[in-house]
Amino acid sequence: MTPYLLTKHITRRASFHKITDECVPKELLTIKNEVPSLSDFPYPLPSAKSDYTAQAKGNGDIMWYAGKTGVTRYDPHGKSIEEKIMYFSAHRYLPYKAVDAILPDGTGLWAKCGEDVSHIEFMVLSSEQKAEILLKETNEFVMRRGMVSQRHLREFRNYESREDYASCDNDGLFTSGYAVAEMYRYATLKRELGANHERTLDARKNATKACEACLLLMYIHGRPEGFIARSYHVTGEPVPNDGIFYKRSGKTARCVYTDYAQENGRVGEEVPCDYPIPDRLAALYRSLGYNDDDITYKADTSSDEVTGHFLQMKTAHDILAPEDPELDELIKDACTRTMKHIIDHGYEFCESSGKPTTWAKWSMRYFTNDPIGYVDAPLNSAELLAYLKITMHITGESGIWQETYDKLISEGYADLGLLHYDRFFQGAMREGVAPEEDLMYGDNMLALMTYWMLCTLEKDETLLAKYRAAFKTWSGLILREHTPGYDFMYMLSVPDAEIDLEKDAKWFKHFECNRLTSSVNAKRHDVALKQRRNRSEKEFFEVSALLWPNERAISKFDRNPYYLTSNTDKGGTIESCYIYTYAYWIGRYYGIIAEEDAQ
Amino acid sequence: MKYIATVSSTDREILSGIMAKMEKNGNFKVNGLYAADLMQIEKSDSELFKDIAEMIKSGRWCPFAGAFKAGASPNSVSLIKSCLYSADYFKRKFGTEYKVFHGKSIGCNSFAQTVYSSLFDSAVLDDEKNSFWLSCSDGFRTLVFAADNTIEAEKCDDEFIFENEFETYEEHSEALFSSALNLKTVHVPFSFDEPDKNQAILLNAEKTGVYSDTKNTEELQNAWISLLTDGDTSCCFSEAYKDEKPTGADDIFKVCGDGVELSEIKYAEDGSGDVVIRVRETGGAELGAYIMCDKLNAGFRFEIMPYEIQTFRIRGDGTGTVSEIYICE
Repeated sequence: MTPYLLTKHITRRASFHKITDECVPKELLTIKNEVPSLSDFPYPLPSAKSDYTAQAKGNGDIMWYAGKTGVTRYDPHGKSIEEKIMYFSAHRYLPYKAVDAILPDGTGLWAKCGEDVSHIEFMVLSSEQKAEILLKETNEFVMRRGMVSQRHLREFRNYESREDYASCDNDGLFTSGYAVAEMYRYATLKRELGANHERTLDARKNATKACEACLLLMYIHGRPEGFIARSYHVTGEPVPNDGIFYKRSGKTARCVYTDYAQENGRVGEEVPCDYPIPDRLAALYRSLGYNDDDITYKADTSSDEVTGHFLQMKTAHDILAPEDPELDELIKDACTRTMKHIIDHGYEFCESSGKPTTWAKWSMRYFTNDPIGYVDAPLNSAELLAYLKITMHITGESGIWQETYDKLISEGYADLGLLHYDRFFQGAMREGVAPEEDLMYGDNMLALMTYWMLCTLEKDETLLAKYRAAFKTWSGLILREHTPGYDFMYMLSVPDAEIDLEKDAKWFKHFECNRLTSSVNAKRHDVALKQRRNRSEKEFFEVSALLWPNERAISKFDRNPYYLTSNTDKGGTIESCYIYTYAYWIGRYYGIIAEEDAQ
Repeated sequence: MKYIATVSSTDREILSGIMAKMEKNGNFKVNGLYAADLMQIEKSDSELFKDIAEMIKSGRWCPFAGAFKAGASPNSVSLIKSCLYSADYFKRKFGTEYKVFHGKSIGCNSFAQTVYSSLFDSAVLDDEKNSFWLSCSDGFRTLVFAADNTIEAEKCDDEFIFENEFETYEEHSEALFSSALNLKTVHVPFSFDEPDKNQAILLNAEKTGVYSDTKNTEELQNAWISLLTDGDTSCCFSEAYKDEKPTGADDIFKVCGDGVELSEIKYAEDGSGDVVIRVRETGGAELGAYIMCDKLNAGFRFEIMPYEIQTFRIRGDGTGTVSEIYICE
């Protein structure tokens, strides 16, 4: 494979000031900008032409236009429409949408919005440099005890005001994504720079810590039978009023009050927690002064979590374990116990009461008796097969794992995947919505992780053909996003996949080097608003053109990139870097992309 | 088992007989009559039409939505216009909307796309005797279903009606989507068919109306309905529109995107003055494109999938606001 060469490119950065701040040029306060005449402007503009009230000439042929709904930068020499027309608006790039005056500043711009000022600047970065900047931000401001999801800020845009704690339903899945990215970063740097290079060692350290954080979730519940906690909190951190949490105390854990636990009669429910937590993993909280009784863990774990953990364990086994036998033993134990739990409980993930969790069911019972299970069956059946393949890969054993795999194949599990789009379409029509509206976007990533693993590990040509065919039934909705993190896994699984790497390169290029979740006005003039297919014809929900990451909402992998956002987020959260680093380092490791400067 | 009672005749006596049975038996539901049939009945027998209209509004009489008239395999233009005017007719006359397309055959290769984008969930086709997923190479699909429990309404006597339950195609479709549907998928390659001579005349007349600010929407609606029912354009739109390119056409809407063509430009059916345009991708590629229209203060980007037909509505109030809408507009 000839790698697609990524080039250095400009990346935006905005800082907000008050008009009284010393750094703000006085000229900005007095400048009288010309009103632009845009009647023959050749491209769609993000603001209505009548909304532009100011123009200024920037470097070279760059023109800046500003007005009631933001700032537009026009570069007539841009290679694509996204490079020709760049849009800057509240709250990511401007404190308010309405701009009073603009003043070019080298390649950048000062923009006055009432008493506030934005300084828009550009940095020239490679995609790899961006990955490092994003990683640093995540490690410094998002990570907590090795877990990586997101961190809320008490004050908009102020990283120093971040909460001391965080909570997330899917800590296991998101941290797994981060861990996998770091493992591929390590493997790539080790290959290219050598095992003892400073960056290689840093990558290994990061990857190992993230792997340990994930494995900790597989032990922290202390349940003798395998289980995986969604997340955990330590004493002093608020327990969210959402879901099922157990507080550890000695050898028993009790379900604490939440509205959901109360509604389901679970408050006070006792479960055992006498299975030891390995010291190496417990060090993630013990080293901070907490002990096992300080732990409150979240249960009711979903298949999302389980899938993320299995991919993470497989990758760690392949990349980290050869040099870390102790870690590999932990992986093998965690993997074996989890797989055994699933088999022993009739292919469902169960609480100690024996009742299945809400969203971790891979049984034919679920597929045939539950309307949601019927739609879930194609993905969940593949997940279970992938877990078994990974278990065999990690343990090097066949035995019960192979027997179970063969049994499931004989029951039709490998054929269910092909029904994905039929059942998905059927489910959407049943609900009276469009398929893309009915999609649980998180399922995209689960399907990608699952089929990537299945297509990698399955050597039987007949089964492999079935898995690839099933994977293709996901391609329509997955590939329309041009998200490299998706596309690369698809490419690695489906040899005849047609992936537009130029668009993937654009994705890297138009990705900001911070993950502050401030919104950008998506209700813009240069895209059409797409009505829901729910017959009410009242609500808009998508935009007609895919906006690249720097001009759309910042999210994880689990959101619709076409979604018309409400534009209310002023920068209250820092998301993790993993959707970038996951894509970048997998792409680099497998030679799908490379940096031009490194050639 | 619930029966699906169908009506295929427009004979007054037969319809009156069915109406009598429906009035006598509250459980009796029937399916039948296209928009064109109902228009004809309204003209010839307003009392009968009134009675049928009440049954349609109550949900016990489910007309055949989708195709405007029985018979004929549609090309893509007549399919789009059929869906548009059929959906509009039922909504306007009875306040009803339907999820099941009813027609004769698949007809053209944009069938699944047109049905889906006209907000139909599934289709019943006279020529198809089996149920299957219809999947076209443009990526669109629909469910074509054949119900094996249909019976002609006129053959149902009171005793049979009393002893059995009946459902509409709409209800049957709902039930179908809630049940297992392990059906085969029929793949159809894609190709565009061009408008025939009369369709081309009307498409040109619509376009010219927009270019010249001539709001002839109602006359055009009548002309299309006339064409869909009789195959006759005996209306105010003469042969003069044939092959005539409206003056300044290329200057008003500029489409930028390789293989993306403007296939239709017209005023919105509701007379609001909004402009509706359809574009289609002809090269079999997914791409980004944009349209500029200074006259309407509009310029917008969009993505289009291989062979996709997209419909946009541009506000006529000078704001240039654009919505992506469905075909039944």
